[in-house]
Amino acid sequence: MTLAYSAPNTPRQPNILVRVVLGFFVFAVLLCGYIVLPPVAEWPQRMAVARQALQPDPEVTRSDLFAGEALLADAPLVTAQAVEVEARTTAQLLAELAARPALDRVRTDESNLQDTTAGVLSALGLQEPQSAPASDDPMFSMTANVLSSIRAVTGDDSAPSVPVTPENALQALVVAALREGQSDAYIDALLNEAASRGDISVPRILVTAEGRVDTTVLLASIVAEAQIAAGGQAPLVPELVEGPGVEVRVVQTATETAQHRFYTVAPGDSLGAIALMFYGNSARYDAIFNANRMILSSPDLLRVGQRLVIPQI
Amino acid sequence: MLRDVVAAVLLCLSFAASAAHAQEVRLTEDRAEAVITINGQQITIGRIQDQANQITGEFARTSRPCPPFCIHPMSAGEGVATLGELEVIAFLETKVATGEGILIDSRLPVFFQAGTIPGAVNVPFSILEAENPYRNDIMRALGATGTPDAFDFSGALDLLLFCNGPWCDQSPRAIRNLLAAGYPAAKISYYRGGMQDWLLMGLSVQTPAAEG
Repeated sequence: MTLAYSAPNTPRQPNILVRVVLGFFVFAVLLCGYIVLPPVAEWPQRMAVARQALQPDPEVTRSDLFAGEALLADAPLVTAQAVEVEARTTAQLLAELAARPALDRVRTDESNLQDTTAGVLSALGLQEPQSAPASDDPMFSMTANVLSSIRAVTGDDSAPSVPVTPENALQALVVAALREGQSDAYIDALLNEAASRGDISVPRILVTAEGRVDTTVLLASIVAEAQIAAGGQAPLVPELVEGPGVEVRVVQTATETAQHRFYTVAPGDSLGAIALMFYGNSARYDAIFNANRMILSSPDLLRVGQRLVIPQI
Repeated sequence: MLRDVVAAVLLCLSFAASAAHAQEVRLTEDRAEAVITINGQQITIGRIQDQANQITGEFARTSRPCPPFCIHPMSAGEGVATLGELEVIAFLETKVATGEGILIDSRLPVFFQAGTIPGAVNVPFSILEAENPYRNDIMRALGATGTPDAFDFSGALDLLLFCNGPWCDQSPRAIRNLLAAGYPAAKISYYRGGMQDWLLMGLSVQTPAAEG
């Protein structure tokens, strides 16, 4: 009984020692690994730096770096903005307005051009009003309630009905300028000034290769939607697009002939403008964006000279 | 003949007396009630005619803890006029009815909904704190023009603020915030009596919650 019990136990003795040694070894390897390879969160940053150091071709380095920067910059920037908007008081806002340096890039948001256009048109009474923007901020809804009850008593329709946030300030500015009958050039200057101060944020497809706000596309969208609202035709897809930067390649295979179109980004172009040019509708930008995700990390990050594939739709 | 005349006179007198009885609790000697039209909505301000009526519930309390429910001074700020009930009614008739001013209930929405002065607008005091990132929109709705750092209040509405009464800090606080934001004191007035005194006089109360 005792023998039978101790017999299988004896060979285990060295086994435990081996395991302990192995355990230390694995721990040491993991520790070294941690020191050599940083945690996952830091990888893209280090990879971009490494890539920059390794790339011999300056052209490739620049574009790679740009894409890397954009990927890196996106997440922390968005978080920082959200926190900023939440924590900022009016007094701070005022101080910022007075002495705020111009932003490097226009502030963008998740809104799309159609919503902005619809908002402008309903504010101008050219379209059925859309539902008020939802907000989690109790102060926002409380302020909105007060605004509507003040309007109910004074009967003043020009008084604000919805509090202005960076997300809807673009709409408010455009509506005010259109009501005043301002020129396209004035609206362009107005929106770009506000955007450079960070007072408004714009849909991504309205950001040009130089980081300005493409007011031409915005106004074109408003005019097109207003025509549709008035019973006009929806814009047609242009048959043939020619012009500087447009390239058409016909590829013949045994079974079919395929036409590939390319467009080289020129100064002043936004993704919305390119979609408008090729598809007659800035809202179709996603076709171009999806076909170029390899070189375009976000619709607002076009660069002059970038060669985009223009798919057929 | 003479008896008939006396009977007729007595009859007339009794009619007059019963008519007078219906309006025995008047606003003033020469006025039973005020009928005011505000942006198409007609409101009537009169008084409870039941002479045995008494205040019950929350507004019957005499001894709220101070702080926070302390007795407030007559003035809510330099240059800010303090008004009584008749001036509140006059404000509704001359300023609110013409669109030149608004009567502001500074209390939180739940109090406003439970009962307020007819024609009042609920602008909770917290909305006027500098911490509200949307306060500039309120200022614009009140008629301020120009940019927030240099608002022009020359065309702004006249404001009359009130809250629960002389023991309530909400409207004085709102007035302090308005003044700090640059709202001219001459365009602000304060009904110190608030809901406490309004109810004590048996004046008409509007319940927005009940009206939906």
